[in-house]
Amino acid sequence: MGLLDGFATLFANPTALGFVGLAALVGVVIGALPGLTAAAAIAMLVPLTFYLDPLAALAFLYVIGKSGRYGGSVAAILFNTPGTTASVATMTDGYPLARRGESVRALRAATVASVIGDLIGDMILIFGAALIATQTARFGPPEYFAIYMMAFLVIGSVVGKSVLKGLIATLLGIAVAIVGLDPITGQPRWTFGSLELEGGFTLVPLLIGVFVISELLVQAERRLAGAGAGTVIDVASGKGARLAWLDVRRLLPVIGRSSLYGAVIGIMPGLGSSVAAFVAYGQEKRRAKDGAEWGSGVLAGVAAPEAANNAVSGPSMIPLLTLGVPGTTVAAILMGVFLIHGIPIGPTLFVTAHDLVYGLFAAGLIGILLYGTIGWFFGPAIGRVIARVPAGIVYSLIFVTTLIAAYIGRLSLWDVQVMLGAGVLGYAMRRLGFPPAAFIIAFILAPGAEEALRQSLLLSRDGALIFVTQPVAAGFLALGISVALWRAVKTIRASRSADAASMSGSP
Amino acid sequence: MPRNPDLWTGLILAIVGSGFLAASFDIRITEDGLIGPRFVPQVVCGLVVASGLILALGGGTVRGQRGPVVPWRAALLIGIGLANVWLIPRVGYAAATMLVSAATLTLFSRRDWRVVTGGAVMSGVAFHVLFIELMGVFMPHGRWFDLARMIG
Repeated sequence: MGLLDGFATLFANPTALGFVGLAALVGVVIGALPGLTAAAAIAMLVPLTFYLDPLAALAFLYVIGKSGRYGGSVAAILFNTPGTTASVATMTDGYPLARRGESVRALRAATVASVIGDLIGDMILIFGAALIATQTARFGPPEYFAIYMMAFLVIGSVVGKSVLKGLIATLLGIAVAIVGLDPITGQPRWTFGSLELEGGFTLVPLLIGVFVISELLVQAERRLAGAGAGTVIDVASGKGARLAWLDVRRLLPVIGRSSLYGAVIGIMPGLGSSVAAFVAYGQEKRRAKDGAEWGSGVLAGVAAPEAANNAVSGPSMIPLLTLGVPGTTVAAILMGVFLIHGIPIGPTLFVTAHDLVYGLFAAGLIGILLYGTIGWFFGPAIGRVIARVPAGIVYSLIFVTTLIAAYIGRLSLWDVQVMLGAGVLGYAMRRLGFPPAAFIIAFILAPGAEEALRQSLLLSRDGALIFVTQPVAAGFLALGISVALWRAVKTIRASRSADAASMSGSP
Repeated sequence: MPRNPDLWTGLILAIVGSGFLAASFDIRITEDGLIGPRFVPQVVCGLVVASGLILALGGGTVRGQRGPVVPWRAALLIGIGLANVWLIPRVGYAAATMLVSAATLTLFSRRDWRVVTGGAVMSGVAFHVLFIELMGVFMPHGRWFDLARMIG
């Protein structure tokens, strides 16, 4: 019944419906632009949603996340450049297919796989999230603090290549969130007498800075090096090759399995689409009878990563909607939008904002069908247009848009400066190997974590032992510590074996 | 980039973390009970200092990406952004946007002056109409002159 209510809510809101359609198109185009990730696009568009009602705002950004992931395949197949990090694996077989004149066939295989993967992921979200929320609704401050700590440890240790750098990025995110007035006592913290700092840092300028400005800084450098998009395939040359029903039937088992890999990985905080795409590609290549041919232009090599990376979208919302913990960057941004619109996030959301949540689910399903239709019929044409638009003009327009987007939230030029500062920070983090996603997620979660910690200690008779004596809290803490230790051991072993290999290879 | 960026990054983190740790002693404690507004900042700073030192001593197993010694184009882009903040209260949003567009188009390798001028003017007008006229975003008027007011 919930989903039917959702469709009723969505169809009663023509603005939201219109923005779902717009998001399907915008996401495909932005995803297909080399270098600009779906998260960056969403970050840039967040301020524009201040003027929309919550459902239209959330549906717009949620669907861009989905269609943006799919749009990445267009750039991967046609330009040999991943539009998003999640489509790197797609490039491996997509581009050789396109070079053989089968670009339309590859694009349509990516469309079918993305749509099916996304639908499977959304079904798991719709039927799983409400069930989990009934359990998590009983949690109190100690359990919540443990969940936040688990999120810090898991995201910090999993999201980047180095556990230490991931955890440092997490600490920096928490530190930036501390600046301003203490939420309980109102005491200024690290404000150094500045009125602007007393208001603290807000999410939107940080988001745009870390994700969009840092990307533009990287692109500005690449222009210097003379590196543009890869070789562009002439789509018209592949007009003869179409995706046959027999192809689809052969791909269905690959798509089904890859969607499940993606869905499982999506539920785990910090892993995200790129990991899902590579896991699915690796697993399916291992299973395939023609595994040796993968990499030279196999259709299943396009379908597997595309199904997996889109199947992440729905399940990645489960930790957000049931625990208030975003598992991916896109989910973190959506959490910010919930908060901007004054909607407290967590398991009670299914009761307090029932129509909004199910309206969002319905928007996701409609968005999938819309971007699938756009991709099937216009994917090649979109690729052709993007190949002709000079990247310099696109980046210039994006930069000018970010300047006003950061200003809109509080009508403050200070926020524009904060955005530029965050851009430099994000750029430095990328160059030095610190994961910006861990920084942003920690910034969003930190206030809730501190509040839960202080409330727990006020409730406790045994001080910090409350986190150990409460079984659920202790379980979450143990899980977080175990994952961080496991990742640390794995990274150290990998580093040692790499060192040993380089030593034995050196004269 | 230095030969081992992790060493310098770790040391900078440890120094900045120590500075903020010292600054956190200025946070006044007004709350009774176990922890007050100072607790979390001090724990976070302590962890930043410790992890910075571990990173400096070689704990970071993955090296950062190599890039140019001075990323001057990236620095120039940030400079253009800051110039925009400085220009808006002086020449208004439309003119500031035109100047910023011209600068960024040039930076992102568009050298043809006709493309740069045309693109900058179109961008200034389009952004002004979309954000100021249609969306009603308030922007401070230019103190020196304001193109939008002059045109009416």
